[in-house]
Amino acid sequence: MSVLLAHLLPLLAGSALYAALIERPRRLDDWLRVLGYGYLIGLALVAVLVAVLSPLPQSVWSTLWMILVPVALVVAIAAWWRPPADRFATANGPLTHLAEPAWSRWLLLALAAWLLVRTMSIGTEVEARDLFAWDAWATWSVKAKVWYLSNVWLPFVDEATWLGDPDSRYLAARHYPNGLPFLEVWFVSANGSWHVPAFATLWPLLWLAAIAIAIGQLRALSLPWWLAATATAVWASLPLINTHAALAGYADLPLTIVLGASGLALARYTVGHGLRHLLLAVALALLLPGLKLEGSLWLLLVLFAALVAALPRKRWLLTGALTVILLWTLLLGLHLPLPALGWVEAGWGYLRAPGVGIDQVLTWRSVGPEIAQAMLLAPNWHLLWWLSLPLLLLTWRGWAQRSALSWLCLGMMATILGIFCFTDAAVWAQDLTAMNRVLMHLTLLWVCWLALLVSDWLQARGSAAPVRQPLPGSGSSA
Amino acid sequence: MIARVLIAIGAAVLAGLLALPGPVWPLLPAQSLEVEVAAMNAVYGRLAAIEGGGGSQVANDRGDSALQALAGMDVDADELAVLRYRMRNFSSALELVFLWRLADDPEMLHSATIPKPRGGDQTFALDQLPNWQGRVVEIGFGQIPTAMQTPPGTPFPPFSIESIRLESMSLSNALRAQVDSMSALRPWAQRSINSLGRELSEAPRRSTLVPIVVALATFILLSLILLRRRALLPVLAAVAVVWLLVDWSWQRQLLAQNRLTERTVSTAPFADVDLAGVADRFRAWYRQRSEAPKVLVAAPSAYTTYRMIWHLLPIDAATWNVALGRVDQLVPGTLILVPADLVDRVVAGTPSDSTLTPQRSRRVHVLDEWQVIEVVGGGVTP
Repeated sequence: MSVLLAHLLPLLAGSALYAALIERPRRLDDWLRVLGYGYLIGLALVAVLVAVLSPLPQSVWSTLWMILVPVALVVAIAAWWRPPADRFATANGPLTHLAEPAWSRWLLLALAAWLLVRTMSIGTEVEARDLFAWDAWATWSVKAKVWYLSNVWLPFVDEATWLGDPDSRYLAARHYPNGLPFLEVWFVSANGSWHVPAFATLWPLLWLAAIAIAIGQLRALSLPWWLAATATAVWASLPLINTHAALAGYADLPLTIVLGASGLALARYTVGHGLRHLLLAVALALLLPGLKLEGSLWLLLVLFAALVAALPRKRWLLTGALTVILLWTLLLGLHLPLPALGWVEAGWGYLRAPGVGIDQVLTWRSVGPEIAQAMLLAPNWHLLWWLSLPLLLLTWRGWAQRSALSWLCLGMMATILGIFCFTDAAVWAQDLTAMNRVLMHLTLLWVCWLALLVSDWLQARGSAAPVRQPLPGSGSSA
Repeated sequence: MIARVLIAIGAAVLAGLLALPGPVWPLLPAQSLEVEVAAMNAVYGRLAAIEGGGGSQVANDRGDSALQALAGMDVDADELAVLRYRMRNFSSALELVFLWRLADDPEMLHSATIPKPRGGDQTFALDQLPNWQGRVVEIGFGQIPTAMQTPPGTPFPPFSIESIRLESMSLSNALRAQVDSMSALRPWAQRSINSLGRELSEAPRRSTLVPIVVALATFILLSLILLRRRALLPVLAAVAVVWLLVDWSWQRQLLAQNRLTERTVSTAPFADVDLAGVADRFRAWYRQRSEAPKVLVAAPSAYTTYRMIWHLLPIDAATWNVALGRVDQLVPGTLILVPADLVDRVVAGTPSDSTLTPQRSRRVHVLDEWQVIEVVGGGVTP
């Protein structure tokens, strides 16, 4: 029961916060956004409270629920007083959208049935088993298990220090962020004993939250139900995504979802839904380094995309500035402090990030066949990457219209390919280990971006597609 | 318009068949060798012919695995590159392994995990296995607990081997192999979290997606040429159908994995219950000590080492590798948990910075095949 409450309380507090600060729900898709974002925001709140207040690990639940309940109540009352927003109204006038075809309702019912079956399959795995995947029990959950069972926030140190220090613990991955271990402690403390399914259910619930966020945001971005739900189902059906939801414990799926939620909030801002969506996007992006080290890199890209979104008329100026920075880096070198990465040094042929032990000579590594195997040939992504190229070519005229998302998605793809083609990370492409997991970070955003481009293309195509029309009764205030 | 769509579908099917990893001619296998199941020898477990024909029944009352082999064969691996097998009531907790020996190195036993039988005929293309070459003198089937999922010692219900055939490659066999490969039941493996499709073998040589994508691409291309602006709906429908087909195959695997999980978890919460048992007893013994020293685990594999550490937590445990090169820094009282046959990795007569000398170590406890060694004397005072 307490574990159920440990999921519900962040959901309620986070949903109330979202409704109070971002948008009060009115229709079904509004509620999907509120609940999806609410779960993420609530969990972030829990992790921050654990980090700041640091109650004894076994008392985390008993201490924090007393804080979260009044927060949820007060914010819910504030949200109640807030007038509901019209999700199609923007500062630039009402959004146009494709008309909903008659068969849409049947498609939605079929997708709901499919989602139920898939959720049960994933849930069965999570509920039944102990942690299975290697790094789940050898890396990610070690801190949580030590902290909870010893009831002390013991520090994790390097080998040499550990051998001489009786009050510390050793973990090779000690520098990995504590966001997920904090949440695991929250759930097991609510359970009252160390029980893996008590926190492992977080992964399928996050997967469901991502589905709610994606449908909700795509609807708010004026996609018809059939397209929003189909695009979301495309992402939710990807085998590697399902695998990470079922074999809980890795940080890649949470990172994917928070990044996707951040990018979609940014997309809302770019269509004129108001500054609060930009702030939400940045706030979510700031959580990324707390989940996984790669999050620092994605944070930088989100911040750049946010800059592009905030200064649409300066888009070419920003592109020019980025080009100058890149040229500067290549020719003269760059020395920059970054969160979690330390003083990053980059230049022609080298990259150093002492915070995570990166000291790379950048040379071309021939990993084309391995990348093709990971993206196209292995059954990880169904037909996602096969279909991406023709869809991007088909819709290329719409890239500029979605400039912030285009920047973010293409920037991430270029970064990923750059990392695996020019650094020692090529080894992880060759043995098909990290390659797919890093690609995964991009997927939610990528699928939603493609759906937006397709929607724009269908609207522009006009005649053969459903009718383009403004929503009746749309206001013009953001 | 319907005629044009049908033309596009026909061309897509043809292109998909041409893209199959195998010859399009002959249509049917030119050669076929029926393996006499009754003549197979039970190396482990029992093998008994089923009365009235219908193959042989495999059982093992005492163990968790079985092995059947047939020696004295002379098969050209290049000619007979397709394995067709039919087994009934095969336990979801078992893994099926195909084994073979080659004439040029009969001492070497080659093996590969192959898809679990599902009742009907199952077709597997052997030419994707790197060592299926030359002349084969012996083949066999092994059944073992599913790696890292089924606890060792789990008994399995009897199952029957109904037929085994080796056939030459043909269009029909290439098609069957494609369909069976798509719907092959692949239980989770440690690799699954990084990349799927490698659960049964290290690097599959063929992708089941390629013929499907070729067929879809052909359909889309022809639709655009033949239907022009009216191509949108047929193209969307084709993409949806193909996506559903691929996803249906994935959902079947998830359901099969669900059945395996439910079955194995009803026996034990995880596969390495024996390791967890040792850890539990070590913890009970450790609690009785007045101090809580550090524990180093030296096991035969990284997997066993880290699983043992996971089971030992929250005890202050780490891998023995941490001490390599700095054994002199080990504090007296530090414990080392090591299997008896690996003690020489930890304690050696020759002084070294990566092993303890007999003078600096003593055995303080024994847990089944594991020993607990304590660091004594010397070293750094805490």
